[in-house]
Amino acid sequence: MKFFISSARWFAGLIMAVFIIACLPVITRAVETDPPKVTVSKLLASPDKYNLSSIIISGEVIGQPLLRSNGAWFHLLDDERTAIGIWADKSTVESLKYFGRYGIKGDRVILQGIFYNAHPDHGGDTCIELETILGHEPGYEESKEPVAQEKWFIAVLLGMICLILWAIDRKINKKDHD
Amino acid sequence: MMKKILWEDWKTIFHYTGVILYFFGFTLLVPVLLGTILREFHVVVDFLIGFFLFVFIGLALRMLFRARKDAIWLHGLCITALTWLLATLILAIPYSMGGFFGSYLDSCFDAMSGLTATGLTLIQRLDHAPLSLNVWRHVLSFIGGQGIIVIALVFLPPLGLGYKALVGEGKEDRLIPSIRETGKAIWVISLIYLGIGTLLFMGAGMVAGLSPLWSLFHGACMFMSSWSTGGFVPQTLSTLYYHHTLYDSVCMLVLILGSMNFGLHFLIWYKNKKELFRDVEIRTFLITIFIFSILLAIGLLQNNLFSEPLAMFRKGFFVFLSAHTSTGQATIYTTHLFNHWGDLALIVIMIAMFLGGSSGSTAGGFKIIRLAIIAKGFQHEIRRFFFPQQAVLVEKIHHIGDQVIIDKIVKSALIIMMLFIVMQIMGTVAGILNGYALVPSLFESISSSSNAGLSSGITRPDMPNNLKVVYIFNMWLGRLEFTAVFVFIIFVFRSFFKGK
Repeated sequence: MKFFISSARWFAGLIMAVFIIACLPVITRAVETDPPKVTVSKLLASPDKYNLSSIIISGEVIGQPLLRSNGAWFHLLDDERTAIGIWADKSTVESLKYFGRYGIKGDRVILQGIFYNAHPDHGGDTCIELETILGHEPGYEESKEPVAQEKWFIAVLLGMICLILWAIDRKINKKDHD
Repeated sequence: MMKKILWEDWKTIFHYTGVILYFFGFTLLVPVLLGTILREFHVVVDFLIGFFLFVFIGLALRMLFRARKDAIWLHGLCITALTWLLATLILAIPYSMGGFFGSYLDSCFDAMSGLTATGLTLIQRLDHAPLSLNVWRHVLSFIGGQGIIVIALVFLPPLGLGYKALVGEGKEDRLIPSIRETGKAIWVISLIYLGIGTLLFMGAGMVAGLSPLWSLFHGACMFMSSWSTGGFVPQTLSTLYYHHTLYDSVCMLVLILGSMNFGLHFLIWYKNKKELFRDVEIRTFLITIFIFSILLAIGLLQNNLFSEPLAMFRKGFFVFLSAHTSTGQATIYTTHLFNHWGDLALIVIMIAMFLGGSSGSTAGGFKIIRLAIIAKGFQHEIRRFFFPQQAVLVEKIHHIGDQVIIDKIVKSALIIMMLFIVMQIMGTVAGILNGYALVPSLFESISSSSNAGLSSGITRPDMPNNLKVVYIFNMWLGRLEFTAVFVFIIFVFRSFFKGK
């Protein structure tokens, strides 16, 4: 009986060990494929922690693309409204449709990339080298609100007052000269 | 006996201030025209209102207060101080109507920063700001760098005011005997550089990968910002946006040119190119660049930063030069500078901001020529001991011609240095009283009073309002180098309490 209980324990232990060993690649892969989600402020606050490691960041694509022979730059404005340069291959950058500026909401992307505190190939730039785009929501042209009627009214009114003042001033000056 | 302040004095000051504001208002037609072309009608209306306000206030002051006598020194200095203040207050109105600033005070802050070519900013959503507003902020910096009075002198009929107001604006070197021609020369030099510089930046922008039209937009903005040592940039990422050695290099070249004395530019262009190497200010500038660059490199290497020479040049040297020319552009995140560059590099940047660029240029700060004068005065004091007591020693420096260093000049330089230090201490105390740490407070205070524009992170839209007012005052005082503002404050004080 004692032998039986002891064997059962051994057997249970063996099954658990096999299970853990079998799960290990899955667990490690989950850790590997889940780089930390960060913001630019977080990266700048702890550059040594994130330097050369893979991170996930999201935000709006802004400005203009800078197309180079061996790749391209675009800029990401994160959710805390701090921007960072992203180095990517040309085709990826060309696939981005809207770059945010006045009247345009840029494409929203979630991307994974390597953070460089000072990139050796880019003159020490603090930037992210793109690995992959995990999510992409196209931007759009924002509808422009018409200028408020009151503003036009104030402008016209002030313009007319200035015109009258200018005419009086001219008259006074002419009188002074005479 | 001190001069009594009469109502006639106020009338003269108001009259000329009105004249200058009236003409200055026409510069607001730049964003109006650009906004019309780009169909940015919100900006068009806001700046049209701004333009009319300048014209209205200018004409009203001119008409209501007729100057019956020629302006004297006192008037000139007061006119300068008052014009800069009123221009800021009026400029802030179209700014605050646009929705890109949190409050009217934030708009005043940005207007004063632009006008004094400082570069600290409280604008929100800069990356989504209308192009015409963005360009205008750089144009304002360009105009402010040369000086409001300088622009007025070019376009106005002779006022009987010229040189007295120019001195208040820190442009006391007469390039040509006629003060009006001097104003013209300053603008001709600036506009020629504007053309060449924009093309250079445009070329560099295209090499960096921007399309030709965007290169032109960025080029014009970056030139105006760099030449005026202003520090505004079209994008929040500052010069880090461009990621290119050539772009950074062009920028550094323009920063150096912009921080050089206009008188020297004039001499090199029209008279003698060798003046460049003879001028004591340029020599001192080269010496300070050499010494502080080495110290900066040591500081950065101690912190294992930028070990590659190219990175050291593009990051370390660029930021140092930007501080030394009181520009404020950066190829790094300034929080990075503050948190990771280490104490030695940080102190080098602060000293560089304090020193600033050349006198009679667009640069701010204590000015290199004063450093040279104080050094020469110190040398004189030491040399005296090696000569017989009866010997008369004459110290000379070469700065737009030979100049004899007399005690009065050394004393004046020392007073200005002392005033700068006092102002910076007061700004630091204001920062500490608002709960900020000593070093960031000191950094921000030096930056605002030297019109440098680098930030330790304090300057943000959510900073306390009283600190915004302190920095606005610092920028105004620093740009006009104390005299005009102090004279104006005492003038107001004496008018109400003593002078009548």
